[in-house]
Amino acid sequence: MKLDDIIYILAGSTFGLIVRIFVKHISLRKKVFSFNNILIVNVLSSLFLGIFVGLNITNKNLVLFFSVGFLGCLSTFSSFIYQLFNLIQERKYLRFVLYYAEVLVLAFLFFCFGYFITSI
Amino acid sequence: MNKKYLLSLLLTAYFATFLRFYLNNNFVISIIGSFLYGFVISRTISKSKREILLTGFCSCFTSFSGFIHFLYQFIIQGYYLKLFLYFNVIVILNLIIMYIGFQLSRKLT
Repeated sequence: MKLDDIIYILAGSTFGLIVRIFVKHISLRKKVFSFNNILIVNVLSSLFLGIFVGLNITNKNLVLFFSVGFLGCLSTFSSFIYQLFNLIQERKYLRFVLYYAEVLVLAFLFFCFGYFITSI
Repeated sequence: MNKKYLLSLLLTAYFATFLRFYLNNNFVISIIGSFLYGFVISRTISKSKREILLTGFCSCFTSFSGFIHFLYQFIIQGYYLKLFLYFNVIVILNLIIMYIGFQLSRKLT
């Protein structure tokens, strides 16, 4: 691995981490507009991934910066699993099923939306 | 938020990113990440350490976009049933792995 690759990954992951913490900070502060910060982050990252895949980029530096660094650090899978786990522990089975379906539908809707924006 | 906290958060995130880049297998990564998350949540540790381990390491280690990119292979080939099946199997498997990690760390203390 060369030094250039390392610098691209570091820059992307710093940017992704800052955006994720910013979204989390907003959702904790404003109690009026309370939303699920992990859902927002995951849906946003799947929209960006749709745009990225639709553009069909093969430049290696851009893949390292955007796909590995930025999107990898922005989205989180384990926190999503923890939310489902927490809903089972509290015995809210209806909300578990609803949240599960919500993520499945929204992620693929936004992925396809991002994919079709680029083909226009 | 002091400087030391931010620096350690960034360093753990970099470490997790390089580990993910080195392993380069989305299925293995998600299982290891879920196990670690389950292991940490039932421990009684200070709040800043917990933040660094959970939002720094585990969240940067596992990625939802990599999971969607893995499922995108089935959309191109047109296997919609397989897509739905894989989504459910991976999520349920990760839930079970997280439960195992949760119980294991309870037994150890």
